[in-house]
Amino acid sequence: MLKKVFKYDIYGNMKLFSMLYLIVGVLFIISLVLNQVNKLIPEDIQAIGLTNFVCGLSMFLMYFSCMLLVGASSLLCAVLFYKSVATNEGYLTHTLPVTKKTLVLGKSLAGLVYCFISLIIGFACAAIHTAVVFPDTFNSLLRNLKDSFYIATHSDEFTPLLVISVIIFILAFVAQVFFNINLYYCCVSFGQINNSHKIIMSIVAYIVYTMVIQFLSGLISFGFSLAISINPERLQNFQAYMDAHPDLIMLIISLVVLLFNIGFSALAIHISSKTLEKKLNLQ
Amino acid sequence: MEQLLVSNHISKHYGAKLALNDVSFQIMPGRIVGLLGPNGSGKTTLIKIINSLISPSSGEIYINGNKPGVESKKVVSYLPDKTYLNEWMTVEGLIKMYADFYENFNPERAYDLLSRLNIDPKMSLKKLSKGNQEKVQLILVMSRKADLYVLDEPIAGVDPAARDYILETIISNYDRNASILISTHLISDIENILDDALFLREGQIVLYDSTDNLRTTHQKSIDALFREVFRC
Amino acid sequence: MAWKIDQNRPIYIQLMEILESRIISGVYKSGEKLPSVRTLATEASVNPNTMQKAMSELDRKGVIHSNRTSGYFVTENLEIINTLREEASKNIIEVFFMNMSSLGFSDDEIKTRLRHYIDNYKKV
Repeated sequence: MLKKVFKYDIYGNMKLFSMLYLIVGVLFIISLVLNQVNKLIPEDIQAIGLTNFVCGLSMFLMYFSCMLLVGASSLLCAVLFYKSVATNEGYLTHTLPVTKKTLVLGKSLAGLVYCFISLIIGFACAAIHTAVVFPDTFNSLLRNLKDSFYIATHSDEFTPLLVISVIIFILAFVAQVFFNINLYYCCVSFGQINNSHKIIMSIVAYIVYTMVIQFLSGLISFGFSLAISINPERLQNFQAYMDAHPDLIMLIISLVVLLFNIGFSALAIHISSKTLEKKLNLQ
Repeated sequence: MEQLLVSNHISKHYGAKLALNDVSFQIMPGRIVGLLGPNGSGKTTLIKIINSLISPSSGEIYINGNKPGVESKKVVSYLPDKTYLNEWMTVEGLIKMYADFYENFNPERAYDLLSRLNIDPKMSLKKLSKGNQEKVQLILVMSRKADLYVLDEPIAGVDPAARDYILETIISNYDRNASILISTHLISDIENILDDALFLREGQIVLYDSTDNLRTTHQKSIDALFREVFRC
Repeated sequence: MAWKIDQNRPIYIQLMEILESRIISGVYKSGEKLPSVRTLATEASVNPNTMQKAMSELDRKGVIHSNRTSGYFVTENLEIINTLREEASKNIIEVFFMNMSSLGFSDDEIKTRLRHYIDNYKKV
């Protein structure tokens, strides 16, 4: 059943996302072409400023659309989830013979796929555009990336450890996106509790979550500093270990992030499904 | 014979408003039951609770002995009174989806019913007339071999010829092991096919008996009885 | 062939009446197999349960009989069909007389008018 829910959620949202990808693609091509053509125009005509303005505008639109695609895809998925759960579409969604858990998981996996594709398309367009139109900037960015990578992994060869670290890093990143999606879905599900103000309730839930996280982070940092001040040796030992094994830094951090995100995603899915089971009031 | 649907002291309130008040009744297999009442009497609320789209404030519903959940959804086929399907999907795509999710869905029957109406399965819902959209929804619901069909206002806002078609589809689909619960306020169109009538007023049951018994007792049609009971 | 059903009276009784009149008039001949319950119910736009009830009652009366699972057959007993015809005619004549009397005619006046009609106006 999970496969089916996943499949039909992908089909259902395909038209919308394809359209968005198309728009970004078109803006990308237009901006690329205009900017390359602009480079060929002699200096004195360029000074008129009109061509520069047009190029600048198309460039702005392109980068902006990439940013929007990357940043707003998970929010869009949340809106689509709301539609399928709380509007007329819910008459189909909630009468299918699947558990609420399967429903939420299937839809969040589908959301993950689209968010990931959005990320790839957004970044690819921006990267290719920068590489072609501003090759110097691109090269220096690439150098910075290489340096950061070295600092994080302390190795320039393809050791198995490096490969594993990179894989775990990517998984951790995917898990982060997955958690983000599940967090939004959880807030939407939570919003069902209030009959007349479902959307407002969802937003409130998100705000509450953010505040709680802030509070907990503060608490953890405080506790951490307290532990260190009580026993500074622990920190020194830890630092010594890290200095001895610099290649493990990225691996350990990625692993922690991966596990936390998977754990919290599972929690969010559990809360979503329980809320939908007990508190659904479809109008 | 086991009861197909049992409603056990179902109540539902929205804030101060009591939409359903201690509703208890049973439906045996093989019955066509009319859920009759004026607007706002709680018909749709009761139907949504049976389909677990709303959770009751108190009381339980049992379908073949199960509370509403995955098992009951496999055997209950529900036709809401709204358009709820994704308009961009083709009729063909919808049939495939229903066949995918419901084991007891019969695609041949669906295609057969569609061909009799000259509806092209390759068209998207969006391109069909509203009447045809509703017929497609009905066909999808009736092509499942379910134990309980719940039809919410299946003939409201539909022309008389389509009404006849819908009633004919319901009759020819009849199975003595299954039951049909039809909620409507267009009673004279439908009372000939009802076995039993359940009158709901302001969230409470005021009458539940076989239609022929009611005709014998009250010497009038169910429609006339309805007008009498629910006189404004 | 539309089934004329009055919603103010129990439907199964009316279904029995219509089936009986079809048998009397020879639409369903003696010994002939009747259409299935489902077919008749669809034709009459009524609940198959109701049609089944009507046919069970006719079976009980002996007007039709069921042959295991191959459906219902009109009785071969012509006497039963004749009895039905006589009963139906009695009802029609009663109603005729009631209507004519309420118009103010005496019994003799009714007889004269009836004979006059049969001799001159009755369509063959």
